[in-house]
Amino acid sequence: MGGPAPTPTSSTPPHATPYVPTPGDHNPTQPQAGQAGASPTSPHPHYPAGPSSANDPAQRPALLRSPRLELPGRPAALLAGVCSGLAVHTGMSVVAVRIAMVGLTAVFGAGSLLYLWLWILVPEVGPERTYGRGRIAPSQKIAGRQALTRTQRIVYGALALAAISFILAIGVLMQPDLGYNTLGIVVIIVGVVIIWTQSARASQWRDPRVIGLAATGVGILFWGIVIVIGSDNGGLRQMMTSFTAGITFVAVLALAFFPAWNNLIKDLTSTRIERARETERADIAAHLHDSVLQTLTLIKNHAHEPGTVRALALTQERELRAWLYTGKNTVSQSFTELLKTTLSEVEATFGQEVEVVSVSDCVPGPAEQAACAAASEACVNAIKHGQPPIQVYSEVGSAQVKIYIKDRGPGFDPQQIATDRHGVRDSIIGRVERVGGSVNIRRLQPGTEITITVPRTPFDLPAPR
Amino acid sequence: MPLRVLIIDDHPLVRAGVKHELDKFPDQIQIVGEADNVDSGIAAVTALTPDVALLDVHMPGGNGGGGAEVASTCRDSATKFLALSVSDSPEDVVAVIRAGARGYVTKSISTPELVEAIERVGAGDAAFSPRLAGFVLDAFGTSEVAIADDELDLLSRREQEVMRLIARGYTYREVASDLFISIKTVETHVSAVLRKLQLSNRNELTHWAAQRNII
Repeated sequence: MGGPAPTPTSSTPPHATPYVPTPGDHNPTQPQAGQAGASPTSPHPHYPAGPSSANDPAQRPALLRSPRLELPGRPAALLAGVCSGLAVHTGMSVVAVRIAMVGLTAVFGAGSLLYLWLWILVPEVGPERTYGRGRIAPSQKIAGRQALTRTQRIVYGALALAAISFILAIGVLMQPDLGYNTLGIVVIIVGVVIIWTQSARASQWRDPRVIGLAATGVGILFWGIVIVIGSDNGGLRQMMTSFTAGITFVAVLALAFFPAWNNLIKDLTSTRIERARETERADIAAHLHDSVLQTLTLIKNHAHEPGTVRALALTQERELRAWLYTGKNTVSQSFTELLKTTLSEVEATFGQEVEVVSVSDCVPGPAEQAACAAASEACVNAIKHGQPPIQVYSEVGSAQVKIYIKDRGPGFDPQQIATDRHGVRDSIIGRVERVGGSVNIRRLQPGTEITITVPRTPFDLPAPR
Repeated sequence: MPLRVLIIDDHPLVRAGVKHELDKFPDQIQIVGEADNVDSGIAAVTALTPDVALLDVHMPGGNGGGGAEVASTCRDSATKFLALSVSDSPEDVVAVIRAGARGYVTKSISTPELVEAIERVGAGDAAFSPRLAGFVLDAFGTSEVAIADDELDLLSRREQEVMRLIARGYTYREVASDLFISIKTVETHVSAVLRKLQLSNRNELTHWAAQRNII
């Protein structure tokens, strides 16, 4: 008993724990209702139900798309999740929304344009959506089933929409020389679609593939525009003039909007960083809360075993202190950290608190390591044969390191240690003298104080690996 | 004549626990009140004028300064502050001492030692836990000693010895017998160290404190 708090990624123990198992651990094709009996909540974020409450605007769920995930309470998405998102938002059935969208498409292509518009602007369901509702910030990705890859979806969908819009637009416009216009429009659409496929990878714009495809898209677009304009206007010079005017206009606009765009990017980046930091802090806090909750549950269950209770409390206190108050020094860089870590293991083994006060620090070499080991032995001695409170004081001076271990027990006479009891003699005195140090055992009224003095390892010696 | 003590801590369980423990010593301690945040703590100190106030370091309210804010706001009152906290980080300890507290003990202290610390602070002396003594030695450094008596930036040799013994876990009585001085002398040295910690502008201390964002 008194083991460490369970880590979040372990499998659920048989008794109910307050921690929700990570969603990634579950096979996504399992039925959503009825998880393994222990966890009280489902692993997927909970969306407020209530298609019947759609009449009340305050209770209406947000308009979101979920193209790649199958989530409980939401109909599956066919293309981009726009119709299913609308269905959830308005409370209508998804079939009705889809029929309405197709019907609208027949009206001059308005439906497909609306679909495209919503596709671009409506945000997708993401883990951040549940930040406010969830108990912890879910930093793990929610596993979901993906029918088509994202690029495929974009290409097929855009092509389909473009084709539909185009067909209907032709039906309306009915221009005499349809041929060039048609060709030009198709080519423009192809160019735009190619650029769109790279929109998801805009952050990796330095990748040659992305640049290549985007440039191809721009070129095709250019060609399409040339066809459309050329078919109307005839003269090449006129076309070039209007072209130059157009490009100049675009360039000047880009320059004018550049600072605004820059600020936007900076804001977004800092928001992302902030969000990531918040998520990490929430995760850490949740882990801590859970390990504390776990320890308290264990303490409650073992309330009649004082030894177990004390060991549990001690371990948890050490863990929390390590998180909250101590620095990030590692054991190989800091003698103080090495001493505290060594003694906290002794504490945990025997369930007895050892108070450590340290002054100054150094990089631990072989002499300091031997001193720590000897101090740990002396503490074990103090716990076994002495009485609490057990206090350790370490001081790193310019030439030597001193560790004092003090307890309040009845004390012992070093002269009277039997030669066959090797504890103090070898493990403490022998160890320290081998690195050139000395041990002083002092009797107090009451108690014992053991002083370990070792000369510091000189700096030019390499630290042992 | 029991000392009148006020408990300022934002954890109700802690207040109840400390009160329960101190009620076992009715001849020495009399709890006159409790407060749970900075503003009500300041109000209670002003209204009740206790001899000693037990102060937690982290508390809500006021300007966010916690226990240090209470101590510095009530610096001119007759109440003496003893910091009693679960935190043992150097930032918290030194901040509250420099704000005017006359001692710092951790909540794992035993009740008789807590009573002794309260009495010491009530009498105008300083109560040092081993950890606070360790911080002092860390802050002032152990390599140099002060020559002049009124040197604020270094500890004198005697003061260093006293601090070292307290850090090793010796009670004032044991310190006195080890150094062959009286307990009163030990208390004088400890009070002098406290004054230095509160007033010193020693570069290392300010650098050490600035590194830990204390001042």
